[in-house]
Amino acid sequence: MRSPRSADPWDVVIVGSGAGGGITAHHLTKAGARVCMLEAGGWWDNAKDSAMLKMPYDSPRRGASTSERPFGEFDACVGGWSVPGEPYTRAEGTKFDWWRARMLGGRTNHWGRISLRFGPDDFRRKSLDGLGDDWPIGYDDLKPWYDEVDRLVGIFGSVENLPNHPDGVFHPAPKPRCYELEVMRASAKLNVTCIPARLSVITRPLNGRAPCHYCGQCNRGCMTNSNFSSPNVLLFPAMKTGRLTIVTKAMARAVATGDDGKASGVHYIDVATGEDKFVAARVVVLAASACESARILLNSKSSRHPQGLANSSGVVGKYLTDTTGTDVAGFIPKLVDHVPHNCDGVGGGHVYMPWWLDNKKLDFPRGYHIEVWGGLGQPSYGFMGGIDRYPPGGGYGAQLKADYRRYYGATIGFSGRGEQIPNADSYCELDPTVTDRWGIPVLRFHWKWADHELNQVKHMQETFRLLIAEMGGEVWSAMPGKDKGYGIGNGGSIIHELGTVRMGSSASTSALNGDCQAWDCRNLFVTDGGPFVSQADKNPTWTIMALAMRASAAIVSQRKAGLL
Amino acid sequence: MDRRQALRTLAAASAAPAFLHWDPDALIAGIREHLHEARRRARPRPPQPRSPYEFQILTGQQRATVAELSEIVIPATDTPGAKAARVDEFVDLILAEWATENDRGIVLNGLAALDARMRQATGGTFLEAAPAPRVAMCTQMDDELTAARAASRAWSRTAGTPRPPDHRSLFWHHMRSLTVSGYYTSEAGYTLERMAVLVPGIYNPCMPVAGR
Repeated sequence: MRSPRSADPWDVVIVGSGAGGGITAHHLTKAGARVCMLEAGGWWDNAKDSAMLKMPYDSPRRGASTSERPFGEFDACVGGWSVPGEPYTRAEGTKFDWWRARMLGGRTNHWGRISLRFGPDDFRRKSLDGLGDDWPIGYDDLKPWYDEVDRLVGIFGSVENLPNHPDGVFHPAPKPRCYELEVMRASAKLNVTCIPARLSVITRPLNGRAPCHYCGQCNRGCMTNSNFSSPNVLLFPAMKTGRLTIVTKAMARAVATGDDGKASGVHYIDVATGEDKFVAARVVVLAASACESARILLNSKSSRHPQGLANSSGVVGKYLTDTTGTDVAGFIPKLVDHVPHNCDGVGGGHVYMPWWLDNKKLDFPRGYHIEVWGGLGQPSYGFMGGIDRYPPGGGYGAQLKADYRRYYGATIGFSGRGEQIPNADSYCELDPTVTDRWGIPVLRFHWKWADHELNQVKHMQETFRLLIAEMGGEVWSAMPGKDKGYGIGNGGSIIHELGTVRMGSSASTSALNGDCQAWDCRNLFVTDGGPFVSQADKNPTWTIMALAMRASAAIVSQRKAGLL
Repeated sequence: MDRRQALRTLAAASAAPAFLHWDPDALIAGIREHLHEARRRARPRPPQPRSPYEFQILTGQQRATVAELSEIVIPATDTPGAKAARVDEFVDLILAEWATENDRGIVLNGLAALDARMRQATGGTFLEAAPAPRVAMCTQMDDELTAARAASRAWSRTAGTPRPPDHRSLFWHHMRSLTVSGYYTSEAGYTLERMAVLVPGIYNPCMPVAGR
């Protein structure tokens, strides 16, 4: 392997090792490119490092959260809404939480693996209802790449032929759990579409990986590589080509440009020593996460690019969106005293509800999908809090112990995940005064939900309450009013930030073209959530990967044509 | 690790019951029998070779009080109770590593206040008291928590009235939550009480039982 500091430039340097960076590295190394990848965090290998098989009592802390792992000490992902030494700021009145992963694989170590394709309508919302913007590409442009991602990474699901919820190349989906059958029944009564989930967990052997063994601990990292995470599914196979070098603990701070305005490499901080280093490359790909990539571009000012790189249009950092979210859980008396059974399954819901209504008949313009949770998860710190709310009202002693036996698994919850429309009040920019521990200017966030989102979340709350009532259940919390945003989570809390380096059909209104390539700097590409023109009522990861693969193919063909 | 190895490890973690052939009635009967057997066999395991836990926060007296309280919250029945699951060690670790200054204060001050109240009632500390006054004191604290929670709930439904004291500031709330967390994540709590059914190798979701 060559030293990343070699003066001879790499074919490509990629910043970030998550979903977008992983796909890009995989595709480009297979195509013959020599690639250097920078990752701000440390090394991670699920096959060795995962806590998948741990029991709660294997740690005296019983799985409670730590500052490094806010989702619990057994969780795979190192990161959080606050990272020591790496602050961000919020404009007055802004509620926004920015999640950063700091490890090989980035957020692919964290996510719920819900893998939904955007539908044809999701790329042309402005044409349909006048709100937001159309993408410069359509579903047909991405479909072959979605198919390719399905085959390479693996996904289970069911062919449903629903409008705007395209099917994929699916492995068989696991059957619903007991409580999920209840949800399906209630959904059918209320005419809510409820179908098998679509998760990037394989249920048949694929590319040398074993199928899922249904231990339900996907979030800890899969030791058999049966679910998707970037290191074990993309990066390690890419390394086998001998053409990928990964530099961890490398915090990118700026893209360097030459006198011709083209990118010449990436400046980064060696986190271990604090030393400022440089890696030269013919092509630069940012896949650092939507906001981090925007930050790097804004910090890449030069005489040729005075507003930051790829920002002559001024859109970098703008059009920031997150998925809307709210949750409601209910106590379901008919599940009390159920027969104890193993309902581990995969690490996520086996069913979900894709958006099923027509927004023209509603007081909000965009849809949402519903995720379902319940069952007998492995207990951890905070186990079954709020026992007082169950019928006997708490207490202690043998009665309390009997109550836990009876009520464990008798709760069903719903999480709504909806589309936000980009607005002028939600964006990020460089903070004029604050810097991080290395002196790099940090982001300042501005955030505002519009009535579009608030009315949508109100509809979620009402729907979840109807579903719980239909199952004969009881919701303990009162419906939150408009003063509380109907229970909407803070911006950033669903960890689906998109749009800060948007693509478009014109250099004056967008940073990138439809190939995720910067208008102002032809050898610069962005393959994370940055290029998105809009959210959808779907999780973004699968589209990040399809876009990354399409962009990678563009890099290969342009390079072969001598354009890069 | 490959799948075979993973399954072997999982299998080692549970006594795989002999109902792997698929017949719903037999399965359910088998699970019940399995659990019944597991509970029947449940008795304190022989002492495991391990380094003894070193208490960081609780003094001997406090530690013993916590152990007694935890056993009142989750007593030994057909399965072991909180004492056997060493919940006192868990409480100490949480107080040392995680609890905020405020929460730690609630527990430690609560232990002192508990002794003071017991002195008023019986003339001695909680540990010196007989089982009946101990239980009476816990009932009293539980009633207070229930009343505080009800007041808090009523307040949330009426605008403009002053907020009552937060029920989460009560010692009993912390004591009970810590005991429950510590117990159900212990080996006894998880494998016996929680009724963990780790059936490696098969995943069969809920099946219709009647009218097959």
